[in-house]
Amino acid sequence: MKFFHLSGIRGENSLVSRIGRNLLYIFIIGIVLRVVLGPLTFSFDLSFFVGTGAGFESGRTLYEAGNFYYPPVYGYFLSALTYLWNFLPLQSGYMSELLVNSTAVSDFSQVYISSMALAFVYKIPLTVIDLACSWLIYVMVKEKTGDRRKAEIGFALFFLSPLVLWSSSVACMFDSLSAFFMIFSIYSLTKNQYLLSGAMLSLAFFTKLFPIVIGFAVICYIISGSEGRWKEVFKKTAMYAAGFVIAAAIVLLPLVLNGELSSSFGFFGDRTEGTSSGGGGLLDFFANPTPDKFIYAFPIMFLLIAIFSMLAFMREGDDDKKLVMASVISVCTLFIWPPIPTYPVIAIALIALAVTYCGRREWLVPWLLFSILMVVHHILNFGGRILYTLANETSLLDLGSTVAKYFQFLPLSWDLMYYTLLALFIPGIACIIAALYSLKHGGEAET
Amino acid sequence: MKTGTLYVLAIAVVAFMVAGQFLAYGANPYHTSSDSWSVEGGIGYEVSSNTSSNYDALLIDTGISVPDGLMIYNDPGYVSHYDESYMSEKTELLCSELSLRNVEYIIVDAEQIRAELEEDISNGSADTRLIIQVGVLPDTIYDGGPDSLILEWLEIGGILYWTGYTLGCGISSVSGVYERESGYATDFLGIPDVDVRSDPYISSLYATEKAADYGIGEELSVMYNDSTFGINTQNLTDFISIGFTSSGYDSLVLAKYHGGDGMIVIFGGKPAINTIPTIAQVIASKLTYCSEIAEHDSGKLFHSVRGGTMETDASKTYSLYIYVGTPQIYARTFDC
Repeated sequence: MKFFHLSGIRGENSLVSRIGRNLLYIFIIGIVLRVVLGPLTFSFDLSFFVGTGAGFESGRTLYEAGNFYYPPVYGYFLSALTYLWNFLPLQSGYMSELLVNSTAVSDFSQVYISSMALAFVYKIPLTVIDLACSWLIYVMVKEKTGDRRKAEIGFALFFLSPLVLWSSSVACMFDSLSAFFMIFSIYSLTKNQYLLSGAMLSLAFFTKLFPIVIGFAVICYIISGSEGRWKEVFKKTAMYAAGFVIAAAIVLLPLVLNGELSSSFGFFGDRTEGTSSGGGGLLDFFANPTPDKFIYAFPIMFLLIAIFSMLAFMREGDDDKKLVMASVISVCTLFIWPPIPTYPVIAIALIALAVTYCGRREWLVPWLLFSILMVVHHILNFGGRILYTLANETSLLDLGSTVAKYFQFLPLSWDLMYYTLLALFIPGIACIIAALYSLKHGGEAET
Repeated sequence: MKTGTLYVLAIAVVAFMVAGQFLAYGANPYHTSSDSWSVEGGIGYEVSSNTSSNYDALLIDTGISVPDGLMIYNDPGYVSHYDESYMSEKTELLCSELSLRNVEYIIVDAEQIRAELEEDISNGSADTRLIIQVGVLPDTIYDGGPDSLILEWLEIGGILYWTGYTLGCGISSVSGVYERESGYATDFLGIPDVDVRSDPYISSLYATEKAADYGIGEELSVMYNDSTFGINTQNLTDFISIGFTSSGYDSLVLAKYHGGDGMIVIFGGKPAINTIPTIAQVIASKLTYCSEIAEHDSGKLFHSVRGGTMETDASKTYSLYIYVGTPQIYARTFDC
């Protein structure tokens, strides 16, 4: 008996020891927060994923039912998940006539309320993806620095970021998947796995397009690491490109065979088409910085990304850290123009690395600003709508009065959103300041 | 992390993604089916699915006989209020939504539509239905006069589904759209023009109050509230209004053609991604201006088979409409 008792304690201790007590606490806190946030759901966005799943169940392909407005990778994940979810006896949601009192309602997404069961089940894979990305950050920081504490902080900076929590637990968005593939790509590159790194960046790109901007940093890294041996540069670049192309081919093949390639990028036109109809002068342009105007700011961003990446690699020091710094600056530069609030989740992942691996604590300011301001803006955008599932399925709230209050406060929300939208410039500006500071004080970071 | 572990992780993630690709583009593992048969004094039905979905079975007393087939008008060569790529995308989606509801359709251009209507008229009966989503009538079937082909076709029992603009106002040709100033509502519905919301520059109207027969729409899971080109029903006689209403204009009206046996169904908005399933639902159900829901069963399918029986009156015309899922993943109509 004593033997079993002792072995049990030793086994428990070694498990805690292996995982790390702090990491376990962070994990538990992150899960608890996600469970608490679980009943809050933005059914509007979720309805499109439900519609995509229904499309699969009706024998249609990813883009055939017209509900999926992203590159295909997450759609393929949804397809596999839809199959698994079919083994659960849950209802996806309800249509509610109580919601028929706003503009442009005559569509399914506007009157749809997801069921509580679906809301929780849908968020489980998103939590797993959050966890996988956090774990990759942990592994990379621990391996590179040998410091478990730093690795744990890196894990926490992603897993407990309010923006990450919000994105996967309330907004039901999958930006973490793109972040996961991007961190995977960077980590693989630092381990000289060029083919794998290229493939992972390709998957990140075909999840949400933004990670492609670390391409400059990758090229600089390869050139820098080859120390002027151009044959080696060519070989490594070819390997990287091959990985990218192979993964792209796997991702795109079904779409090409099915004639859906244009549909998979159709969303890009939809997201920017509002811009072309916009009028007014430069002041109007900046005074109403809607995400669709991003396309006009992109040439400047593109230039900045190229310059910052080169500057990062012109400093003395470790190439792996330069890769991370050039990547974080590149990605954050994209968000100088106010994005849709969940987009900077990929920036959060890179900032976690910049702070813990590269020791650049100045990046905690953009981390905080992204984490708070994006969520505040999105809360105003979503409003009381995130309570609809809770109100529909519990007696805590009355759906009718929740809907009424949403519309009652809508004018005030719109007024406030004007200011919070302008405030979304602040994290981007903070990133540029942090980038300049990091580049100027490249050698002074805590290592 | 060891490099080998990194590859194992990558392979695991890619394998999951490829499994999703295969399920969506290759295997199609989902099966939903239904059947119906006559029993003494009624009909029996059965619905099965290997998904986790709710289902509804509606016995609709259609009042009149409704043909199975449907013509979808789409002619890129003819000018309309919508650009070619927009309509092409919406037509493709409509076809997809009709297919999952097993509605047989053909796409017709301006010349083909004339030939089809002429054939029906010469046969003395309409053996197919017609949907016009572009908001204008091609000049091959409508010239603005009372002897137009489309009106003759409606007279013999044709069924027209209409959306996209003011009913009967725009006449389309290869060179442009001519808009009638008056008389269009009288031609089609026998009501004053003011009863059809018509000002093209007026803002969209999304109705909020339930229309008189909203219950029927609800039973079909139809919540359509775009009244931008809606109908004021005060001067209509034979109709049902199953959507919503505001400012006197109803969003979804099924009305008898005032000059004959046909029917006109007006969806008061424009063709859009999220309204097209609703349009397909109404078409597939064979709902008419004199329909009543005789019986309504609903339940839950979870890798299971469900069924039941419904009583019918031999003197009436019914369609049994079974649909599965929210949003719909399957639907079938059985004439009985």
